[in-house]
Amino acid sequence: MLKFLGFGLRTRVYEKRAGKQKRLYLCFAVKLACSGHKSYDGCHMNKRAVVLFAFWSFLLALPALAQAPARGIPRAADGKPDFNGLWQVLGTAAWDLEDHNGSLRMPAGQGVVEGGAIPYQASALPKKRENFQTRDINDPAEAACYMPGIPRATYMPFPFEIIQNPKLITMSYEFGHARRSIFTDGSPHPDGFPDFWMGDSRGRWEGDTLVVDVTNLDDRTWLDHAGNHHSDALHVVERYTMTDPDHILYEATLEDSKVFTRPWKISMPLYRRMEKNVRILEYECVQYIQEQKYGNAKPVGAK
Amino acid sequence: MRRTLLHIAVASILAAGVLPSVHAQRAQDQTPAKWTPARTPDGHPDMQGLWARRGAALTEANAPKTPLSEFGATGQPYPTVFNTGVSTPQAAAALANRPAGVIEPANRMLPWRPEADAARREFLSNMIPPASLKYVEASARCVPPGLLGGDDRHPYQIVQRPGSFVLMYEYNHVTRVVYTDGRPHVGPNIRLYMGDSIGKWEGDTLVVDTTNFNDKTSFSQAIPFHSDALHTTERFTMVDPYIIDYQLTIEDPKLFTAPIRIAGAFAAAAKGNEMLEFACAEGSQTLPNIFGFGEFPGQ
Amino acid sequence: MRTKLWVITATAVLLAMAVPAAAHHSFAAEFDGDRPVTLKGTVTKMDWVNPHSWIYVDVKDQSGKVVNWRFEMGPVNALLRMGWRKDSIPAGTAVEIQGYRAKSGQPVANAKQVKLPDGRELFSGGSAPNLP
Repeated sequence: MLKFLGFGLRTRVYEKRAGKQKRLYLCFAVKLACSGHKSYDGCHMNKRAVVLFAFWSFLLALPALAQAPARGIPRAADGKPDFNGLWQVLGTAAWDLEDHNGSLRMPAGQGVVEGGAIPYQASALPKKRENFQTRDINDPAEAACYMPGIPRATYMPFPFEIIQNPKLITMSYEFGHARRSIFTDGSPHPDGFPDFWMGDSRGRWEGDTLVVDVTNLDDRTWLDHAGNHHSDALHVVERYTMTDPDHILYEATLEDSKVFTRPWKISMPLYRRMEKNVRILEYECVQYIQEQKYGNAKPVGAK
Repeated sequence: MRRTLLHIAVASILAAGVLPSVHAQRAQDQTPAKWTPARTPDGHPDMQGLWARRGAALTEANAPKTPLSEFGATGQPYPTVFNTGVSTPQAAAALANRPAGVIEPANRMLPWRPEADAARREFLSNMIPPASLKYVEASARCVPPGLLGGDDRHPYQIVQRPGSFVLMYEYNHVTRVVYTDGRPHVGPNIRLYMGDSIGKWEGDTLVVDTTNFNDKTSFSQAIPFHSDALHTTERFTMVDPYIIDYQLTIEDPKLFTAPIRIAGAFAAAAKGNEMLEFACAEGSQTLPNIFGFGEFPGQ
Repeated sequence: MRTKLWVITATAVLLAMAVPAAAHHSFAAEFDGDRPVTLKGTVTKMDWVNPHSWIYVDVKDQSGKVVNWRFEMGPVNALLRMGWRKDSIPAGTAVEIQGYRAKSGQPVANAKQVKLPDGRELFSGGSAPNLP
């Protein structure tokens, strides 16, 4: 190749920078440029022009090449996928995890349960029916504004913010400013702790997937507004996988030996909220509902 | 000759990139030994971790006596049990000797507008027994605490990312994201219990400007409300591995005729402590007890 | 737990002293500081919750009738940090409680002190149990 191109120092310079492929193109370009000449050696000006053009194009293109990994996901300083930002689902799992038709104030939706139906034990079905029938007064999240628990907090129709550093990932949900800490420092679930509304979450990485193990979930939360329920034996394993910079595939496996016949799985995409300067605002459900309930009431024994 | 020139050119470019940081390091080595914090990847002091806050209170001289404050300490007291980061007696003394509470005005007689002081005394007189829902103490209604209404027996967690500094309160699980990415405040009609915070670094001090408060949070037992004209400035400066100096300036022109300055500190929590969940409304029986009705299912 | 969470040092005590009086408490709205009560009974259950934990106690009155009282305490997070665990106070434990009655007249009180048979007190910083 060197001999063919017949240049001295300049050849060495652009050889070091351009890869082998670049060299091949260069040879081709030079050949073309010199195709009108009787000999290559006589084609000095054209050869020089082509090489210089290629050299400077490559140099100037370097910064752009460095900045644009084609569809690469953002990474944190520790090399892990960087989930920082606001995320939200677009489906209707908040109303009903299973297939459902539209009704007043509820959109139709295709279910997110793998296999279609939640595998209840027969003894757990009456409670599901009773919950559904009384949902407007008994849904702990919609009627009482309690924290929705996991996985329901993920698919409430509100954004949530992921706040990530290497030892701790925090999810801050706009609904009722609910929040949970996912400890990624290798610590185990604590022994002898009571249940929490948002459970106890311990996370680890499997390659680029964040796997979160959730226990200690209070049995008073529902899985959706349709009254799907669980016991204090609920154990949830979530998986967060960034499929591209603006989407996370969210999967959750639920097992509860007192309520379901086997573990079952849901999945849905999380969409990054792209608006400029977007931030979590406040949905202070508890305050709104207190006003509704007690706004005109008088305390016991008041004059 | 050309090859030589090229080599010199490349070497110069590389050196120009490296030299500034070498120069800075030497300059630092020459100054007298002063503790400097570890830094986050974007070059700011690393204040991340779990902290106990103290001193951040509107301590008022001659605060009006109310039944609230009379029995405030009668219920189960409990200590702040998670700080042992300050491990030597000298360091403990250093923390204890820092100023705390209102430092300006120095005499703690707050610069009330007379009509505002009258309004809050009137309000206080309706709180025991509470005349209606709004007169029930804010913390007993699980109102988000704003900047001063939090219970500092519960810790705070700081997380830093490029573009924001996050202060999480364990108490009532509120989260303040202070944006340091140059964005402006949200529009004036957006009103928030926790306000809207934007911050910038002045050297190693984070200066936080917060506006867009609503008027629904409480400052203290003696000052049960403020106005939506509230504007605060906070300054966070890490002074040693276990202490963040915290300065808070409050301006509420509808209540006070002058700004009020408060001094406080965040002290490092002992290793092994974690933020726990503090669900409020879910476990509170206060309103059903006061009003005699309205327990939610599961209570 | 991987480490003891309830290590209390002089610093923690200093901090406690520096913190202003109880921030979250509507004591005066719910309870009557002029009606103290001291009761003995057996625990039936405990709600380990925030903002206040509750302990339910069967108390025999003078006529021998058993009334189930509930007592409001501090938040579960403080109990956990002091080393108490969900199984620390099983049903049937004998307790002695000093507190203040609810204004409503119900068998409800705010607990100032909860004493266990071995002399330990809940919420008292110096009486955390030994953990394994």
